[in-house]
Amino acid sequence: MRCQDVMEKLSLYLDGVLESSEREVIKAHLACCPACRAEWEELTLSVSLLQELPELAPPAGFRAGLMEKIDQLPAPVRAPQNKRWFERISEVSKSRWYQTAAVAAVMAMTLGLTSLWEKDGNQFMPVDPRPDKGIAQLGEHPGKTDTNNVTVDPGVEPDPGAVVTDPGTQVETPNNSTTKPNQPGNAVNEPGKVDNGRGFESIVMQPSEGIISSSATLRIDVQELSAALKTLGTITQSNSAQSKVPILKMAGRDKLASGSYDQLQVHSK
Amino acid sequence: MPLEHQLLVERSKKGDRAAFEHLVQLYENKVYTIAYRLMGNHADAADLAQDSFIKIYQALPNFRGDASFSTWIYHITVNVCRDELRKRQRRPTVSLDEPANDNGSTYEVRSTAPGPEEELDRNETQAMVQRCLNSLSDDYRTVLVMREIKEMSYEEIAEALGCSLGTVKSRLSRARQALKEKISKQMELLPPSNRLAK
Repeated sequence: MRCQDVMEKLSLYLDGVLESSEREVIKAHLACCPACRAEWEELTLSVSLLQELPELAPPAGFRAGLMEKIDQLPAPVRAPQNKRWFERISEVSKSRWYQTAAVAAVMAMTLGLTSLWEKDGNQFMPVDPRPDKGIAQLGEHPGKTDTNNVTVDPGVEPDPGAVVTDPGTQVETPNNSTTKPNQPGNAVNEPGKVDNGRGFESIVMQPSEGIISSSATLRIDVQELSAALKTLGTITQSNSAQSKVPILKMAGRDKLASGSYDQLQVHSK
Repeated sequence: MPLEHQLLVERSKKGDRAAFEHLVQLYENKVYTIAYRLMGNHADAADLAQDSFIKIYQALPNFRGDASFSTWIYHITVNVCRDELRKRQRRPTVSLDEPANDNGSTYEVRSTAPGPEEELDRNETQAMVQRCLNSLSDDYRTVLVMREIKEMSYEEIAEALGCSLGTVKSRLSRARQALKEKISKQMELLPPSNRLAK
């Protein structure tokens, strides 16, 4: 190490803040360089003279004069503290309302995200309005030809109803009251036809892996209850579904309501 | 900080005048010494030490105890003195050889150099060291007082002066070198009996 480099580091050497390797180099240099050693001795002497300067007492009357000035001052007031941003946040986060709001926000975000979660088709998704795509759901069961069409009579039932369909079949009730496909006021789903006339979207309940339980509420007017129950039972059995059928008497006509289905097309008006 | 000082600080924060006066008694020598070493004369030292205590009194409710109380009051004292030194640097100088103005008014002139009666240091060597300190720049004098007299750490000095650790190290190194040169010159002027052995 050159003498100039050593002299520049003497102050740090004096304070003992150099790395041990550097300290050893300087120590060795001072031992063999008289010029640098003289500089070192002058530096340590000057610093020690400064350190030895005595503590001084203020002149008489200093404290009395000071307290007189202080008595004339207004009482000290705690100034608004210039806190850092995380100190402010941590204070706010300790309040009860903030904790409640935080939990609510996390729950809302979780529900929002999971509702959008797509996984192997385990989701509710709008059906392509092209008719053959929606109706193809039950078309995948070609052996089940005994499923029936159940007709909704919107004139009697103002609530949005739903129709359970199977392609190519029609209902024949014991009193031979056959529904009339495509008749005005009757929503009969045939292959290739979906009635979206009142703005309801068709949805398909996708096959689940036991995670999603699909349900639909159906309100169906029937002319003969026993035949309709039989038909409904056949449909639900053939599709491995369950149904709960409370029966309502209304204006002399029986009404079926509330079915729970899986893999059925639900078509609302 | 001793428990007694802590209690006094807490009582003073609540507006206990007697407690604050006790604190002043405990720290007045330290505050006054800093002011004297930085300003170089007793009149300014007394004024600025009082100003420092007034600032301490006003800021006391906001003292959070992050630093030790002594470091905190040194910090305030150094900054009060630095502000005054800066003000003086900005003030226009007046020639004493020329009349102040046509109406014959006079200036009150206060010397910043200690007069003979002010040299309270115990011996000539200490007075010489103070003169050497006074002759340094404000920045060098400030960093030397903080480090060598109040034994503040690099970090505390950096915080008080609002500069980096690197700046503190380099400024302190140059300040020590400057002081060493001044003292070496003065030592040569001292009578041989007063010279200290190197």
